[in-house]
Amino acid sequence: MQESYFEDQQVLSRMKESDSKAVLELYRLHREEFIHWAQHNYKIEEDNAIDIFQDTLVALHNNVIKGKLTALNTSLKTCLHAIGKSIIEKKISQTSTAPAGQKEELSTPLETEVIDQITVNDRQRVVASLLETIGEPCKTLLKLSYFKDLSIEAIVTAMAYQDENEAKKQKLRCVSTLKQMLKDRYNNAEF
Amino acid sequence: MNLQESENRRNQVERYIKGEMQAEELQLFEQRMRENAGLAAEVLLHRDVLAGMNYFFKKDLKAELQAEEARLKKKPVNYIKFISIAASVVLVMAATYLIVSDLRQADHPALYNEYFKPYPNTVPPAQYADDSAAVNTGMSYYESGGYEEAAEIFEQQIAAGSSQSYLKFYAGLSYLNIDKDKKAITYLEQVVASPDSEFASQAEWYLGLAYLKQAQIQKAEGILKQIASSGNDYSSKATEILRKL
Repeated sequence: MQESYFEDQQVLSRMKESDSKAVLELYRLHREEFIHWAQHNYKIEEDNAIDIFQDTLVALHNNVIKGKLTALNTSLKTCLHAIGKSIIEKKISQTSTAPAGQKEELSTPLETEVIDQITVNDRQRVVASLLETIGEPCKTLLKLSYFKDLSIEAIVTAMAYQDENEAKKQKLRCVSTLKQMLKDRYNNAEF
Repeated sequence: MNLQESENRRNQVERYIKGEMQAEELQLFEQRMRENAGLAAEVLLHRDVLAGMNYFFKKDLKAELQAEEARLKKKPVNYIKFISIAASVVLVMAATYLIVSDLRQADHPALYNEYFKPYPNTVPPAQYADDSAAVNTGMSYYESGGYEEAAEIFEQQIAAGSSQSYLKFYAGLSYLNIDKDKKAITYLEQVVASPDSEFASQAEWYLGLAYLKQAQIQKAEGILKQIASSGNDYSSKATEILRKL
């Protein structure tokens, strides 16, 4: 790894370890430059560029968590531009012909989702709405387990459980609660 | 089904959904699904639950970034200047600290850093009570690391007469996170003084850490001994710290 990527790699490692501040740090650090880059190359409004930058960071986070982006062979800035470029093209292709941007390319295929374009079925949308009301500790536990992909051992530490058994029991309870809420919503009709 | 069996079943279903099964195991599992409609329905249900969670938490992360954007627009900060000043202050403080302190004292902040971990929001939204919209905003700030804004909102709720002890607990923790230790200690002491509070034992632990951070060693030892002998979740960690003091 080149010396200049060392700090970028460290931030990614913190993101992988579920350091909640890492994403916000990246947001503050790269925001201005990214927005300038997007506006200059794609002639888009500032608000649109901000929205794309947010989607770009969510995509970066998910690629890191899922292990699709582990070692950087380029700077994080270039990586953000590559993801951003893909997201911009997806958004622009819905409305008009995409103008030619700079040649930022991903060396490995990464997730580049536009949040507003995620396709979900009715049941999945209901699951999402139920998570608004499920309360704690389930919301945090499910987030750490399924979104941050933390091990049970790491969850024990993060949520101050006594041991792995207690964390596993609570996780099972939370998943069961969510499924039961979903069944109740559909009056058990489709299960 | 006991815990281990339930855990194994859930793991198997998730591995199938994520495409992590090897050929032979996959074949057997699909055979079982064809023979067992309940298992097939469970897989479909679990797939929707996983996809729904993924969708929700992605939107949730984007909402955190939108909140950060709102904070940046509200308070434009020259971060380079801020970091330069902060670094200078830290350097001066560190130099002063090394000169006036002995080696034993130098371990206290390190101990604090070793044991301090932000406490998650464990209050169900249904219990927010009082001005629930404001508390909800405060908790959102707290969860996304906006401790200064969170502390301000919790303090306003307390000043408005809310008797909810969790507000004082999270106000204390918010202040501890932004190094306003004296204010943190004031709130945490109030929670500890209300033994009926559901956060009394957690507040004791963080109060012990706050004393440690402030190098109030006698107070830290006192409260850590109390925690060590209480047999609660923090006892073993309190014992560890006492050994290192």
